[in-house]
Amino acid sequence: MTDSFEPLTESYFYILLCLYGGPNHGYGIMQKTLALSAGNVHLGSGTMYGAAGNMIRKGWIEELPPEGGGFSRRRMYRLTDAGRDVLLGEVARLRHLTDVADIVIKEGRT
Amino acid sequence: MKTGKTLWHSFNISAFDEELGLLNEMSERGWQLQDMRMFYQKYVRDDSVVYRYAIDCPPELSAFEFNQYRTEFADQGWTYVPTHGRTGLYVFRKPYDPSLPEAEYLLYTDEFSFQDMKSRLTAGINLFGIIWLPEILLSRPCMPTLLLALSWLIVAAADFSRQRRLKRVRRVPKKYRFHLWRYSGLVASLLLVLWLAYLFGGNSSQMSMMSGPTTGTQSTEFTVKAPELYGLEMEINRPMSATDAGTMLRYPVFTITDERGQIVDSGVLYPDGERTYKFFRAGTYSLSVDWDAACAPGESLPNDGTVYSIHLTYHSSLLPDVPLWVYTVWYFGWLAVFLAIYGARKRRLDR
Repeated sequence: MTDSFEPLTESYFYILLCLYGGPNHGYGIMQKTLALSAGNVHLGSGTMYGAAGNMIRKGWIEELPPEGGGFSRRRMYRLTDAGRDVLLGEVARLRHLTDVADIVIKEGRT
Repeated sequence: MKTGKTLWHSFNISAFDEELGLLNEMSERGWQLQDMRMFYQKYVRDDSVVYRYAIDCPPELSAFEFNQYRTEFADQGWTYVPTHGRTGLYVFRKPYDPSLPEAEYLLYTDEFSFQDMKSRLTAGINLFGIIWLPEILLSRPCMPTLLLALSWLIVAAADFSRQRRLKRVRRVPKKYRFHLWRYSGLVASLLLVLWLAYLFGGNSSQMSMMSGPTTGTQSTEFTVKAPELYGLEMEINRPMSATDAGTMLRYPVFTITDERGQIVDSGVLYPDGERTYKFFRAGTYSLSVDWDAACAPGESLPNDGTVYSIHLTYHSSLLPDVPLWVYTVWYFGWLAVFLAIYGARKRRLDR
């Protein structure tokens, strides 16, 4: 099983999606997820922290060095090329699923 | 009016929700958590606020990472409650507002990440011998592991008493003050014992289990003859492919329950298998794998007929058909070696 084809959990999917437009920090991602999902998907702090750690290990996202060097109390994340491929692969997979479902549902109606 | 309260209670991981419920209920009654230790919890009286509590077990954090971690949780309104119990638990709370959705008060908002955290929690707790002492003492007596636990207690008590004595005579050389390394040495030596036993005399057994399509819940039983540290390895016999991924949307969850139906361990079964090291009491256990853990109740994942099997291997340092006195000599022999090294060093430092 390759990472690029790994089906994503809803949380992972939204985190990658939120980073598609540019770097963001954990809280920003949580807020953006809530907005994108019209209030339906809450990302808990633990889920966010754990998912970010896992995705950094997988090479899907990376932590940005703090602006101006030194230390920052908030981690900024950025999507990597590998993460972008995973996200686009998942979107294509989901699109295929909905396309197939549409065909079956339409056939069922006629 | 009382301003403080001590509740003699140990946090029980297998009843995670009930434990959180207790903290929340205490808060509603005006008692706010001040400290959580291994065997008791301290509360202070404060009627002005009602909190909702949450428990986390992150991967090991450096001091700097811990600050980042705490800040990220604070962004979501969570306040860290410092505890001193070496319980491996990180306690957070935030003021309760009934108008907000319940999801606001959850640290983990999906089953996968929650199970992942619980795996870490269980692993962390099993790592430190002191945590499983009560487990052993509650288990059957006259077992070698009981001796191991007792030996740990003897050394810890001796060290504690020596520290007290040194303090009393106001002679606490710097070299004695930081004594964590001594415990590390002890733990390392005990792990060495288990490792050597595992290598040279360990009882290991492999059984094939759970073959069939990857849907529904499948289970098997295994028996533990005496309380021991068992390493369980669950391996899926064939790596998943991209095609299989359709039947393995998200990861299955494994659960180990004892004869009374109590959950003793659970976690996510990763595609490349899972290893868990657990201190089991003697008895028969049931291992079940829920392939559809990510689905809503009553639903299952699509199945293309792919067949998997799981091999369960367990390793134990317990040899079959060896009398108890052999174990006694074995464990206490190691303890004697450790004490001899420890004593020699003490004499050298005292000189």
